Amino acid sequence: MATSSGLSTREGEQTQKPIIDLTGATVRFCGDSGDGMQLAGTQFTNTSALAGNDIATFPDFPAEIRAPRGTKAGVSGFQIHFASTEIFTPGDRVDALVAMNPAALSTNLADLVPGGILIVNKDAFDEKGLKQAGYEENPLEDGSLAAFQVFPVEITRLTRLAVDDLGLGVKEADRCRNFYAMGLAFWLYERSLEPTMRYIEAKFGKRPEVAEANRRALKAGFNYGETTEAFASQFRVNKASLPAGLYRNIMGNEATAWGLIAASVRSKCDLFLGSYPITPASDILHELSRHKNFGVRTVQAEDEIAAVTSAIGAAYGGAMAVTTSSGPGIALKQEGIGLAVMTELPLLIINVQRGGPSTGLPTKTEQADLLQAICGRNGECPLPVIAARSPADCFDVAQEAWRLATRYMTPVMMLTDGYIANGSEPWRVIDMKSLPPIEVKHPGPLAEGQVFHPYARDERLARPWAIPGTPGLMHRIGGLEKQDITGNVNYEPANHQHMVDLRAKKVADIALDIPEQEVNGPSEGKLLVLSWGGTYGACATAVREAQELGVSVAHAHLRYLNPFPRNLGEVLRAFDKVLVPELNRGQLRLLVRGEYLVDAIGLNKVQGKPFSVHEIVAKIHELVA
Amino acid sequence: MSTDTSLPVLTPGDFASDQDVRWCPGCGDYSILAQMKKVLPTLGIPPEKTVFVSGIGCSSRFPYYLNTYGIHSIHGRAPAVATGLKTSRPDLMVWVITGDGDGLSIGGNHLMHTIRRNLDVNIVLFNNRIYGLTKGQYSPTSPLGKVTKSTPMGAIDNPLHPLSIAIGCEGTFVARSIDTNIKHLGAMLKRAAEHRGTSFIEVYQNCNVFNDGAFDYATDRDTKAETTIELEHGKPLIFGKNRDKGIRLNGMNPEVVELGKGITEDDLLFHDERAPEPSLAYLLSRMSYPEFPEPIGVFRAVDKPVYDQMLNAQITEARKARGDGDLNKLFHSGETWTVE
Amino acid sequence: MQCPFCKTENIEGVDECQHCQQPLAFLSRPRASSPIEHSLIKDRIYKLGPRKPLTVAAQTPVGEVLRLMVARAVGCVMVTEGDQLVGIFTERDALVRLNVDVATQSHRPVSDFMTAAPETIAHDAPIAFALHKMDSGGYRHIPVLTDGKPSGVISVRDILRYIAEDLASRMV
Repeated sequence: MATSSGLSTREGEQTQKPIIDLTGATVRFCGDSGDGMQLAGTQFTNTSALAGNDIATFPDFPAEIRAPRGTKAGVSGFQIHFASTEIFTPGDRVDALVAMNPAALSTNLADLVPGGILIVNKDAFDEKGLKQAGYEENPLEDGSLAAFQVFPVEITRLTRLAVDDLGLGVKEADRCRNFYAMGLAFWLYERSLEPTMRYIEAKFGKRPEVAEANRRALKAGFNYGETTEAFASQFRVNKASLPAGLYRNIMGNEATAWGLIAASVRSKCDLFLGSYPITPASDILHELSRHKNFGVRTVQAEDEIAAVTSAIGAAYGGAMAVTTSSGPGIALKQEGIGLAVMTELPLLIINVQRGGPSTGLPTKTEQADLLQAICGRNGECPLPVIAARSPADCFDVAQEAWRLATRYMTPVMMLTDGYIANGSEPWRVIDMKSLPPIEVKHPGPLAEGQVFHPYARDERLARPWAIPGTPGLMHRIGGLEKQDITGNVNYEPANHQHMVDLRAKKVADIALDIPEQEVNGPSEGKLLVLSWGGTYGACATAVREAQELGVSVAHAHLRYLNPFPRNLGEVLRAFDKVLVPELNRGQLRLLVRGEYLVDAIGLNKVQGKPFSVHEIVAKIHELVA
Repeated sequence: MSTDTSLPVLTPGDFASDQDVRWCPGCGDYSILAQMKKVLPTLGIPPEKTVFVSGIGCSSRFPYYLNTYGIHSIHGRAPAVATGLKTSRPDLMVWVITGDGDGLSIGGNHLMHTIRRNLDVNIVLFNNRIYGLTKGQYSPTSPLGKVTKSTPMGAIDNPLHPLSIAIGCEGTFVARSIDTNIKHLGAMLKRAAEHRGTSFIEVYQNCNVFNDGAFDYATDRDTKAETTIELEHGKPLIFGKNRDKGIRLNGMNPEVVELGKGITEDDLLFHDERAPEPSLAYLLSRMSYPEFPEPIGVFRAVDKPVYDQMLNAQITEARKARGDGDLNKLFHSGETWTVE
Repeated sequence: MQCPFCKTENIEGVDECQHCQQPLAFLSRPRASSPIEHSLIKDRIYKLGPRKPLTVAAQTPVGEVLRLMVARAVGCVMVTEGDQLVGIFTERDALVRLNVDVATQSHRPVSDFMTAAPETIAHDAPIAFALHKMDSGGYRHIPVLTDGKPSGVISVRDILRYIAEDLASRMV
C-alpha cells in the first residue's frame, strides 16, 4: 500500500516541514451522519482526481436511519484510496483516520494501520460522547491509542472561532466542522484547496455568510496543519499515469442506470423499468426516473412480483424491459422469471446482492445469490447470468446483458453487489458514437398466404420478436409447455423433452458468442485464482502483489457465469490448484467442480465486508508453499 | 403510406383463433367468448392492435381462443403484465381476463393497484364462486358454509364482493353482467371498451361442473325479474315482473318498497352513474340476494386522469423541457477532469 | 424541504442536499411545539431533585414495611437484594395485592407483594422520558438509577411540580 520512497522539501515555502513521498494512501473520514463526512469524502476524492491520482472510494452508510446523534448506529464514513499507480480497491487498511466523535472512533479504529495517523475532534470526547460510544475511560487519555500517531484537535472550538464574527448561530457554526476537517486532511496530503473553494462558491452562493464560514473553516483547518508543531510532515502522492481523456467519478448503481440507457439508445428500444424500492438497488430506480427525456418509463410497482411481470408485459410490447432488486426481491420474482424463460422474451433482471439470507444485512455486501440466479426457478429453467466486477464495469455489463437478451430472446440476470453499487472509481468518458448499434429486428407484416409461427427459430435458436400492432402476426404466448415452431399448447412427452433440451441448448450456445476467458499471468502453473463479481479488485491486487514477489500465480476473473466461457475447463486444468475466493460459502466453487471435475479450493468469507488484499495474499502463499 | 381510405369491415370470424376450445360442455365461458367475438368487430380496432392478458384459471384460457395478440401469464399477475404493456404501448387496446380466484385471491393486490391507478385497460372478472381449474376448492367469493374439497365442513371465510372492492379502489367504470344475458353482456363489454380508464366488469358465470346453479336465482326466467334489477343512468330503481317494486333510500340504507300505496316513482332512488363520489355505487354493490335484488348494469362511469396517459405525458413534458436525451451531454455533466 | 445552507429545494427526508451535499438529516428531528415541551426534553431527571428512597431488603416482612411507610409518610419503597434493585412496593401494591388480607399476611416477605423488575430511569435522562413511561405504564413512581444503582425515586407529583413551576416562571 503506502510505501515511503524518500523525503523532499518544497521550495520557496516559509515552513520547512518535510514532505514524504508515498505511492498511495487510504484516508477515511468518519463521524455522526450529521457531521457531513460524505461531503468531506467527496471533496477529497475530487481533489485527488484532479491532482491526477487513480482513486477508488467506498462510502459506509449508517446502519439505522435517523439514529440518535453520537451513537454507534448513527456513524457514517467515507473511505478514499488514492495512488500514483493503478489501483483496484478502496484500500484494505486505513492510513489516516479522521474521527469526529467517540462512536466513530470506536467503530472504525480496528481498520487503522498500526502507526497510522489518527485525527480526532477532541471536543467531542466529553462524558456524554464517551458514554454513547461505550467507553468507560477516555481513549485519548488512557494510553489505549499508543500504537497510533494521535492528533487530538479541538475542531469544534477552532471552527467556532474561525467563523466567530459572521453572525452564525452555534449550531450553524458547528456544521462547518467538516470543512475544517477537510482543510486539515488536505494539508496533510498536500492537496490543493482550489477545487473545494470553487465548490463552495458554486454551491453556497445564495447564502454568502455560509459560504464565507465554510471557506474560513477550510482554511483554518489547513493552516492548523501548517503551523502546529504537532504535525511534523506532509505526504505527497504523485500523479498516476492514466490513459489520456476526460474522466468522471462514477458509482456502480449510476453506471448501471447509464448502461441501461446506453443499451436502449443503441438498440432503439424504449426503456421500461418495473421496480420496487429495496436497499441497495433503489438508486437505479431513482436515477432512471430522472431521465424521462430519454423516453425512459419507470413504474414503481406495488410489489416485486408486479415489478417483474409488468416488465414482461412491456417486453411483449417491444420495450427494453428491465427489473431491478436485491436478493429477497429476486426470490419473489422467480416465477415471473420462469415465465419470461418459457415465453422466450428479452428481459433484464438486475440483482444488487446484499447480505442474506432473508432480510439479512441490507446495507452490507455479499455475493451469495449465484446459485439462486442459476437454479432458483422451478423446472429446467436455464438463465444466462453475467456479473459486473467494479463500479465502472456496470456500465458495460448492462449493455452486454441486453445484447444477449435480444440476440437469444431470453431473460438475462445481471449480478452486482452493494460494494460496487455504492463504491466509485474514475471512468474515462466514451463517445456514444463509438459504440456499435445493438441489432433488434421485429418481423414485419406477413405476405399473402404466409402463416406466422411465433416459435420458429433462427440459427441461434432465437424466436422472432413479433410485437402487437403488426398486422397478421397475431399469436398468444404463455407459461404452459408448447409445441416448437407453432407455439400451441402441447403436453406430449417427446415434445416436452425436445423443448427442455432446446431451451437449454439455446442458452448453452451463448458460449459461442462470448469471448474466451482471459488469464492475467502465466497460462499454466501452480495456482490460478478464479474470481467473479465485486471481488475483482482485491483478487487482482493480491495476485499482482504475489506475482511481484515471483510467485507462480495467475488470475482469471469471470464475467460470464452461465454459460461459462468455452475455454474455461482448459484454463482451469492447466494449473495445479485453483483457488476460488468468494463472499459466500462456495457457490462458484460448487459450479466449477460440477462442470469441470476440477478440485477447486475455496477461500470463503461471509461477514458483510469485502475481502482485504491481505487475506487473499496469505491464502495464495499458503497454497503455493 | 396507403392511399386506401376505406376501413376494413371486421367480422367475428376475424377474431376466432384456430384452437379448439377446451372448456367443459355447458360452461358459462362459451357465452362470454361468443359475446366478445361479437363485440370486438364493432369497436373499430383491428385484431393486431388488440391484446388479451390473462392469469391462470378456466377464465384465463380465454386468450387462446381469440386471434388477437395474447399473453397467458402467471396466476394473479395479469393486471401487472397489462400495466407494463399498456404504459409502453398506449396505442394498443388491452383486455385483462381473470376470475374470482385469480383476481381476488392471489391477484388481489395487483387488481387493487391497477384499478386505483386508473390504467386504461378493460378487466373482465368471471365470477363462478369456485376454483374450477384445480377442481373445486372454495374461492374468495364462495358463500359462508360452502362445502368443497378443501372445506368439507364448510367455508368459514366471509366472502368478498368484487364490485365493492373495485368501487373501494375508486374504479372509474364498474359494471356487472350475467353470462346468459347475452344482449346485456354484449352491451356492457362495449361500454367497457369505450371507457377511458380502468373498466371493471364482474360477470356471473356458471361453472356447471363444480358449482352448478350458483346464479340460478338471477338467471331463471321465473325469478330473475324479482332477483335482479337493471341499472339505467338517470332512471329510478324499479324491478319486479310487474315493475311494481322499487328501491328507496332510508337514511343511508336501501330498502325495498312497493309502488302504489302512497309510494311513487319519485320517492325512489335514482341511479347516477356519474356521481363523483363512489358512495352510491358502493351502496348498490352491497345489495345481495335474497334481501335485495342484485343490480346489473353500469354502477359507475366517471372520467378521471388515466395512468398510462399521465405517464407518457411526463415523458413528453420532460423532452420538451430538457430536450431529447443525449448521453454524451450527460457524461460531460457535473464534475469531470482531463488527464493529458 | 429547503436546504438551510444553499437554499435549494430538496425532496422530503433526503440525507444530503442534492446541490451542496451538506447533511440534512437534522431537519427531520422532532421539534418541541411549546416552551414547556422544550423544557421537558431539555431538562434531566436530576433537575427534579429525586429523593433518596426508603429502601428495604427483600426479606423484610410486609407488615414492617407498611409501618415504615406510614412512619416516613412515603408512598413507595425500593426493594433491594444487596445493592441491586429487585422491586418496588407502593401504596397501590398494598391496596391491590394485600387488601383485606393484611392481618394474616403481614409476616410474609415484601418480595411476595412487590412489583418485581420495575421500570427505571437514568438520572440524566430527559424528564419527558419519565412522563412517557408513567403514562404508558400506568404507574406513578419510577426508581432513578445512577450508574446502574438505585439513587432515588421520582413520582408523578415531582413532574407536576416541575411543570407548574415552569409555567409560573413564564408568566412573570
